[in-house]
Amino acid sequence: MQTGICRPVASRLGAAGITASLLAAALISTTLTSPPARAETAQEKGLAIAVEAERRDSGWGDSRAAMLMVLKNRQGDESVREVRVRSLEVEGDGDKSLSIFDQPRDVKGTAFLSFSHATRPDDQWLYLPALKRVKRISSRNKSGPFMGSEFAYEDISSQEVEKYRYKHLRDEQLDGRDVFVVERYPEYENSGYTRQVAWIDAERYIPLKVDFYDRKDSLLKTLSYSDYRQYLDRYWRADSMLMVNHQNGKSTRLDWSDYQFGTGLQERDFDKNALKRLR
Amino acid sequence: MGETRLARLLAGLLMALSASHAAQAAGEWHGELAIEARHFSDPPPHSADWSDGASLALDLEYYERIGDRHSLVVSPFVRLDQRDQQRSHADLREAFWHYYADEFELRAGIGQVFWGVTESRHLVDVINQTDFVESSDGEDKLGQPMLQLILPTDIGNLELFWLPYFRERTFAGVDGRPRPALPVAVDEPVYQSGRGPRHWDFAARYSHSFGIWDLGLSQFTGTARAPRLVPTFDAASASLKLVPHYDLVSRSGIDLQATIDAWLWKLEAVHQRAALRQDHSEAVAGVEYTFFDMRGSGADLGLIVEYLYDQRGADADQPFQDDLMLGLRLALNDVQSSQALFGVIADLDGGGHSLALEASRRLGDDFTLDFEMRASENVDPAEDPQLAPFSHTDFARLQLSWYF
Repeated sequence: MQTGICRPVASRLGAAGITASLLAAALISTTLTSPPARAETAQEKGLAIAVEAERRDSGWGDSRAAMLMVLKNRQGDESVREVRVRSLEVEGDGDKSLSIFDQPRDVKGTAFLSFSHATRPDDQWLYLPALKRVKRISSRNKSGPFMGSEFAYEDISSQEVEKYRYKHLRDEQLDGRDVFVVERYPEYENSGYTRQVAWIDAERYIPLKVDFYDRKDSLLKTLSYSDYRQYLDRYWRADSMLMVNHQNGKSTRLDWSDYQFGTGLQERDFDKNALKRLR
Repeated sequence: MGETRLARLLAGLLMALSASHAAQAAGEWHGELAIEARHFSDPPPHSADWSDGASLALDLEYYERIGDRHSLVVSPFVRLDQRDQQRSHADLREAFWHYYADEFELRAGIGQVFWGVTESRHLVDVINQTDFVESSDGEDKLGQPMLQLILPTDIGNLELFWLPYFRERTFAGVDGRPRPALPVAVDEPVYQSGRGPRHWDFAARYSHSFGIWDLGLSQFTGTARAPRLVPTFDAASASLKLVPHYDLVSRSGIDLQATIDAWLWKLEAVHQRAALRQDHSEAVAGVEYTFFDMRGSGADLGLIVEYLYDQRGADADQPFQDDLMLGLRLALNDVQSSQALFGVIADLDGGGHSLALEASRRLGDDFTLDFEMRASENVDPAEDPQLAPFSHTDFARLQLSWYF
């Protein structure tokens, strides 16, 4: 069973694939980075950072949060969306998430259910309250905009380690913090990106900034995380995420609030039937 | 008759509203107020000889959560139509209490339920009666009194329904459009059951999602939602009218969708058994393919093809016996959520076809603009006798909605 593959095993499988295909590249680039005690390649180090980040962020169980999405166009006109987000950590597979829209008012009650998977396409359903209809939808749409925003579907979906290949570029400082600069390449199909460059906090293993490069390898967007807060003495969540599109001049800011963990959400709160129950 | 019923419903509604207010309920209200203009392009083959009409509709929803396990939903609807007394109507779309237990869910009151996967027709969707005066596409439904028990299991959901009261289908009145050439005598329904609308209907549904598959199996026993319209001589007016006959049927259905990459493969099929009607099967099968984020524009274009089948052929009491539906769905995925759906259903035997275009766009934060156009052409009464009464019903509709 594909769902039976637990995360560490899947990560190791991914690592094996990388070493096989990128051995040549690895041999060239190892000398560019600060050499560790063992001759760790830039790919291995990039992957190790991703695995460590995921290890530190696992075990949270379930969470609820409120998301305010502020869309700004080139002229500075703003438009607002309000979404309640519920998440469930799934042992050995991608997370389950449920988004309930409160604003704009014409889509109030619309809900989006997603089961993310590391190695096969995500399962997604949409609930249309006017028709009381649950629709299974294709999850192939990765690069398209989420609710007319500058966030693509692939930017808001669960970030599993196996979704990318990695390469550690360098260590540096960002806003006075030590960071790893890691390049990652989408392993899933239909991504709008050739690569992403992520600035990962070296102490807390959380992203501070990500640059997105489009299919022509031009800089498309920059995502900046700010106002991180720690929950349950362990898990870091950013209160604010700003995505700036350098090519069209638009931006989208996500303001998160009311984060709660261990709220008692269960599998049953993340099925098709749950969508109809929501208000 | 229609007006007193409307007044009674409104009075009841206001009482319910003030009662909930008096109880200092902690729930929340939201709603939609819509103004609509319709234009019919052809002169009708009956007395309702007008081409432009205006209408106002109000849709409210009250929701209150009571503790962890109980909730209450009340959703009244009312429409005032300039032209048609039958279209001026009120309905409790939903008014139910919901109980969430560890092993089951219970819903009691007036509810709305949708089953199915296809776009051109909704064959397996049998719980709610169609509110036909609202729109001719059959997507609007009347509230259905019910007791619904939901039993979740590891291998899918089982739902059981007790439906103790029947709702009659609404039809445009003598002054209404679109309507058949003969008026429908909505106040003189004929029931097969001696208990009339109080016949107890039952339904059960099993549904499950596994991997790429979404499956539903359903069984309904009771009064058919779709009436037979029987031409009957009216002695008082010395003319013909259509009398709705509501027969008892047993209807088994399956709906299945396979979601593979950008392809959605869909099937709905039903088999119906009845004492007063021909036993038969109907099916809709098709596929929807979507080009996502076309050329990096963010816009999606979906192509839909569905085949509609009725075993009874020309004897069917509905027009889609051997028809093909082609659809185009465009979503710009912009800030205004601009979208459009174009569809054509063509009869593969007679050559008659009908067209529909629906488009919508948000204006500002709290308004939407909807446009709809429907037309039918070359309907051959011999090949499509069921569609013939609905010819000359080409119309365009514009609606502005305010959400609060």
